This record gives sequence, structure tokens and C-alpha cells, in this order.
Amino acid sequence: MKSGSTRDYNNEELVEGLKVQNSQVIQYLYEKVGPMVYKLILDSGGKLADAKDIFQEGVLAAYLNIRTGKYSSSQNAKFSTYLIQICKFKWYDLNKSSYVKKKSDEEIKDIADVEEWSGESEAEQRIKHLHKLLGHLGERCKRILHLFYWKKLSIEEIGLAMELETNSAKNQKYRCMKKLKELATHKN
Amino acid sequence: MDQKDFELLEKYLLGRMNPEEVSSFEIRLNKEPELSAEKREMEDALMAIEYSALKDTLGDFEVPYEDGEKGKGVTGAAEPSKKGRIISMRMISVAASMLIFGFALYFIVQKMYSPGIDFQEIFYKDPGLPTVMSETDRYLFYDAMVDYKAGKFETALEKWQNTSDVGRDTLDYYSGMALLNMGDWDEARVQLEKIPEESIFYDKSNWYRVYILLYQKEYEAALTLLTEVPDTFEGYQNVREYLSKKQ
Repeated sequence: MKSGSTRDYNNEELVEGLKVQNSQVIQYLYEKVGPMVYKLILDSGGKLADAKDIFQEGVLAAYLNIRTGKYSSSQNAKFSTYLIQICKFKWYDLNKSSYVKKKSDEEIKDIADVEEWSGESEAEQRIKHLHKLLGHLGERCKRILHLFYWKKLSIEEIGLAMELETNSAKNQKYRCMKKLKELATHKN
Repeated sequence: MDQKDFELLEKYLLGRMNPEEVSSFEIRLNKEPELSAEKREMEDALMAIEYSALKDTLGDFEVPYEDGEKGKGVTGAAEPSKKGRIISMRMISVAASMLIFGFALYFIVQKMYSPGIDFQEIFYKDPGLPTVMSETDRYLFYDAMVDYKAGKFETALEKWQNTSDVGRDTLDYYSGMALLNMGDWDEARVQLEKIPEESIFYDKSNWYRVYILLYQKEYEAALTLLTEVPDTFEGYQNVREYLSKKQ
């Protein structure tokens, strides 16, 4: 487990921090927002493992919403509130049938919100699908793509780290992306 | 799309084009619908790579939640989640067989690859500089060095923060080492990253940065940085071998 967060963050810092996957910001979200989500789920009959799953899914969904522009700090709710809402509705979505049975007619209208908050946008679906396909690429491919596109290492640095000639690393990267595209086309 | 266009598109999306290149590439994007479609696909692929990185990262974090019955931080392993409970008994039996196979494989791999490396021994504490107290013009620096050698890292750090009588790189390096010994990995990392390439502490600072990256489980970055460190450091090959297997 990572060590504790050291300071408070304002809304903008949380959004920008999660966008670049800053580990201090993630730690902060896990420390400050996580317990509220856990309480909500455990109080409504969920297990610890449910809480863990839902919170992780919530953070991932919030991240994609920031990256795809679905969440904007100027237009939407405070980010911590937003994250709790996503988790809450993901949890309700998972228990939709029992949730509906227990609710009065007046409360049923809230179900529409469940769809809005927990439903995945087309962009989210595409990205989650591609994420699954990355798993079919093989470790070497995944590593090259991760180092180049996420860690932003130069192709020369990747060559050094993976004991490859620069040209070979460059060609492998191209082939890996091509393979990912083929998989996406084939499996659509 | 051929490799040339692929690399141009990649350069565009990663923000590595100069303004002139951006303008001419955007003209092409407007004129060529196929290229524009390729751009959307690559944007999605890059986002999927980022998403995967985040998903992996989240596995390192835990919510510090006190559960009444267990009174411990949550591990999530105690009971299956609602989704998990959907798994049928048939799948459980398959999983059990795989688990047995997995254990066997784990022990074989452990036997073959366990590096048995003592990182604390390899990255032993920098002993500090000899304390030449007669150098009165550098009194404060060496006074703090006495504290450092005595293991009073906080005191040494405090004194170094108020010293300017030695080179900036020397101060940054030893402040980083003090922070490292205090267990403040993040701050030590920040401090050591300040050491410029021309400094005599550059190689040593990179060597300890590798240690920090190792501790923070950033294995790819550690391996990359290690390539910049001279292989004359004791234990270098062990660390390299360990990191290569972590990839």
C-alpha cells in the first residue's frame, strides 16, 4: 500500500492530478473519498469486496469522464461529490432489480439518474474494449506501448531498456499498434 | 495507413510537431477522411493505454476503512464481491486445478529466478564527506555533516537548508541522502533529481534514484535510469538482472 497523502487538494488539483495519474492525488482520493463510498455500500448490504470493486470502477470511470470531457470542473459538481455519485449509482445499477422493488413510486424517478450516472458513454465502451484487447497483445507489445505512449520514453530509451536496436524497437511499436487495430476491427 | 503516416499521426497526437508541421498536417486531416478516421482510432488506443496504466496503478492503493467485524484495513480478499459470487461451482473447480498448477509454476519460477538480493546492502547509506572542521568558511556545512554521520538526519537537513557555503549540487545531494535515510522517498527523489549532469554527484544521485524507483515499484523507469549509471557501482549487475526480470 502506498504511504499516506501529505496535504489537501482543491477541486482543480484533484481533477488535473487524476488526469495525469498523480499518485499523491490518487492516494488522497482513496483516503478521503474511499471510506465514504465504502460506508455507503456496506450500509446498504454490500460486502467489503463489493466496495473495493465499485470504488475502483468509480475512479476509472471518473478518469475517463475527465479525459473525454464528460466531466469538467467548471460545469459539474465538486469532484469528490461527483466520484461518490458515480460509485453510488454504479452500486445501485448492480442491484437495480432489488433497488427498484424497495423504492416508492416517488423514488422510482430517481432510477433514470442511475442510467445517466452509471451508464457508459460510447467513448468509454470503446476504450474499455480496447483495454481488453491490449491484454491479447502479449507482454512485450504491451510494454513497448506503455513505455512509449504512457511513460513517454523515447524510442532510443526503450531500445536500451529492452535491449533492442532503435530501429527494431520502432518497427515493433508500429506492428503492435497495427495488431491492436486488427484485433479491434476483427472483434467488433 | 503506412508506417510513415502512422508516425506522423503519432507525432501530431503526442504534441511533438512544430507549429508549421501542425498546420500542414491539419490541412491533410481536413482533406483526407481516412486519415481523420485513423486519428480517432489512435486517440482511442492511446487513451486505452492510459486507462490500462491507471488500472494497474490502482491495484497499489487501498482504502483505509475500519470494518467493525474485522477491525482491519480492507484487502477485499476476505469475501467475494457481488460480481464474484456469480462464478459457478464448476468454474471454482477449474480455478482450483489452475491454482494447483499455478503454485507449482510459482515455486519452479521462484527457484529459477529469485534474485535473493539485499537492496539495503547494495544501496548502503552514503557515508558522507570527511568532516574537516578547520575549514571555517564551510563550518556550517561540515557541522551538519557531523550530524549526518551520527544518524541525526533531520538536524543535518535543517542545517543544510540554511547553508550556502558549498556548491548547490553538494547540498542537494546530501539533503537527498538525508531524506532517503529518513524514509521520505518522494522528497528524496525530488531532491536528487535536481543534480545537474555536470556535477560530480550526478552518477551517485542516479544510482540512489534507481533505488527509490525500485522501492516505488516503477521498474521500467528504474531500468531506463540504470542504463545511465556506470556499471562500476557494486551490485549493479544484480540490480540490472532483477529489474530485467521484473519487466
